[in-house]
Amino acid sequence: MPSIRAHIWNGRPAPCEHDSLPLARIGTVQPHGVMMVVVPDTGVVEHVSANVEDILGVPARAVLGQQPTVAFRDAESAAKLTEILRPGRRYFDNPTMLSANGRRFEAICHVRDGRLFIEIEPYWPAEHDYPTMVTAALDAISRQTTVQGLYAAAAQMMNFVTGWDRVKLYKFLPHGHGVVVAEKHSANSQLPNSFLGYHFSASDVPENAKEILRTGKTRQKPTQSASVPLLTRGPDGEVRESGPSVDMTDAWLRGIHPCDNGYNRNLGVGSNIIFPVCVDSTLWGLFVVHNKEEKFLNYDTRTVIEQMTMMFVSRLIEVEASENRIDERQRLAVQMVGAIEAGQEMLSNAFAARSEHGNAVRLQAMQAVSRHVAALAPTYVSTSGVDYAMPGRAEDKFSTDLLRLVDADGAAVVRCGTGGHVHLVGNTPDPLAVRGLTALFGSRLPAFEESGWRVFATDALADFAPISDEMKQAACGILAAPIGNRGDMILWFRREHVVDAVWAGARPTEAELHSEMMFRSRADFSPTQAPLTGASRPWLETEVLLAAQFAGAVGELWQRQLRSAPPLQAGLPSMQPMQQMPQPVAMMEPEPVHSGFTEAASDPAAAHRTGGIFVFSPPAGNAAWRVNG
Amino acid sequence: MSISVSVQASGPQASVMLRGVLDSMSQAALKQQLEPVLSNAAISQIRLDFAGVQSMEAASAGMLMMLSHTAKSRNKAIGICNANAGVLALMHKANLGKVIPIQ
Repeated sequence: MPSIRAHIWNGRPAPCEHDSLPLARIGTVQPHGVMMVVVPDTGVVEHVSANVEDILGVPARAVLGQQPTVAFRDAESAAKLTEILRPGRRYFDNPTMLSANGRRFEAICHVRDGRLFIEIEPYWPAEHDYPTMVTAALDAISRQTTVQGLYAAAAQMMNFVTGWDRVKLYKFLPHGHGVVVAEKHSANSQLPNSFLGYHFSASDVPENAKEILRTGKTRQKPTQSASVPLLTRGPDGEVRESGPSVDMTDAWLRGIHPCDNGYNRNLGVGSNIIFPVCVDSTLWGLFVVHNKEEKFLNYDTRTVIEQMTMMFVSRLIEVEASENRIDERQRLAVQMVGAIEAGQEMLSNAFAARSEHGNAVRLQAMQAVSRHVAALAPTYVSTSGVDYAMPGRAEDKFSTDLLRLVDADGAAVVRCGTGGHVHLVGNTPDPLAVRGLTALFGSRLPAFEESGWRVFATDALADFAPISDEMKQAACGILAAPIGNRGDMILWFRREHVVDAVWAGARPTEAELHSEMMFRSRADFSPTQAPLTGASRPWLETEVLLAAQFAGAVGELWQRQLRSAPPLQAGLPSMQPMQQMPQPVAMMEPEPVHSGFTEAASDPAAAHRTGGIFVFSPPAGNAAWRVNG
Repeated sequence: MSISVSVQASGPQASVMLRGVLDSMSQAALKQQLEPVLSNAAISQIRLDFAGVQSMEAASAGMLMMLSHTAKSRNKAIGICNANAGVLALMHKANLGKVIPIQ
């Protein structure tokens, strides 16, 4: 079953001119290290970076078509390389220490697309040894019990491990923008400017760069010097540039686009390194570490930071769940399903009972029970097409809990069928708009049947459907889960969350996003105030899962009721089967009460007094009934 | 899909069989199910058998590192075995072997 994350369709970044830059196949290599791409079967070098002569003292033409050992004359290094080249190897205990020309190097190996990549970087001593760094990181991360504390501790540990001037923890927001949520400066930082709380435009990170970051690959750029080309032999044996033929997604030395180099220069940064923070396959944020001067980190240091990033994510999931009281809400969901079941029992008993006060009184009592469980019982009774519950009111506690379940501003329970019913809680669109939303699934919104979890969430409904500003006030974000297969549904709503944001430089306009300007390095990072709009607070993955599980449990309860329910006619004055609704449910106004009344009435005078009452029984795949008293 | 755990203890050794998908949604369940093993003073070696793990996300590598940290603080050794090729590749990419022995 796909991850619940696949059902969260948050606001996407606006398309940008530089999104499709061929970053993974950039064809260049950073100048401080040598890259060799080897054909594993033969052990010969197919591609080598042009700086191999500067760093290892052997010209590229002498390496291409030969074994990598040709560049390492000392016996120990040659033996280690021979072991790396052993046929069939897929995994490597990185790094392998090598020597050449009296210098020490680290070889870092990986296999991609059937090619062995050997990246050779000069060795730089670390600030601390590996066990010290990893133990300190584990201690610091595992001690944190709040999200903000975790952010601060992680930034501090990044600073401890790297010793670089400035660490920023950058969190992605809806529509691809981001905000710096934690920052740590070295005591003697040469980059004193703070970006804490600053927002950065989505266009600062091209989509293709995000695609690589989603793989979890760290991006190190220790020098802003220009990258060098990767070379290979052409058909006639001549040495030429490899161009885009090599996918360097997993390579440390992948070349840097000139635009990126310029961006960092304009920030006053000599070295930077970016560690992606990925929660499953989603890019949550970035650790961005800056140093004013060029500074190199060895492989073990980078490894510790990568591992610390993974620990950070693991701890973040725990702490976020704790801060958002997910356990409590899971218990609440169980209690609510129990309340629905108890409500159903009361309704069934009321059906069966004889009342000396007549059917109208009995059915009105049943309607009260239906309201009590927010019209979620398999059988429910309605006096009209719409109910409004008031959050906080004692008699509407169940409805209030429905909001608490996923921390929503409003909710709607939509029952389909002729004379269908909408139960509204809190801040919601009007009933007609709610019915309209339910009708969009399968067209503008994804169909529920297409994947494992039957749920849909977005923090930016306007990205899918043209909704008014007024609608955004109630339903900028929606979380929807169907009950059964007939169009009955629970929808939760969140209003637009407008942030009075300070941006690092002005955000590009729509026209600028599609212009050549996107290929020039950004130079303005001065604070610029502009509201961040268009999205609600994002739904947590656990909230989306909880919604899916809750609706699933209610659906199962309906199914159980359908299987065990006795014929309803016994206790009721008059009932007729309702017609099943075709899928998807059409957009419609709730039917006027009298239309149902006319067909099913046994006592028009009583109906007149009560305004008409509809009784609905489980609709899951079979006929449903209605009656008025 | 979540993760399920079954434990076989024999003297100081516990073999923990994992089954399912190890991702951000299942890590809490895994930690909860492993707690009795970590709390059992009679156990000094824990072997996590990944034969039934279909896939794993990077965040779970972080969780395993923290699990190893907890185990060490309780004087227990922890190791991983029988991971499938995809899971093994992720473990190597995360350099998990530097923290937990992988067989």
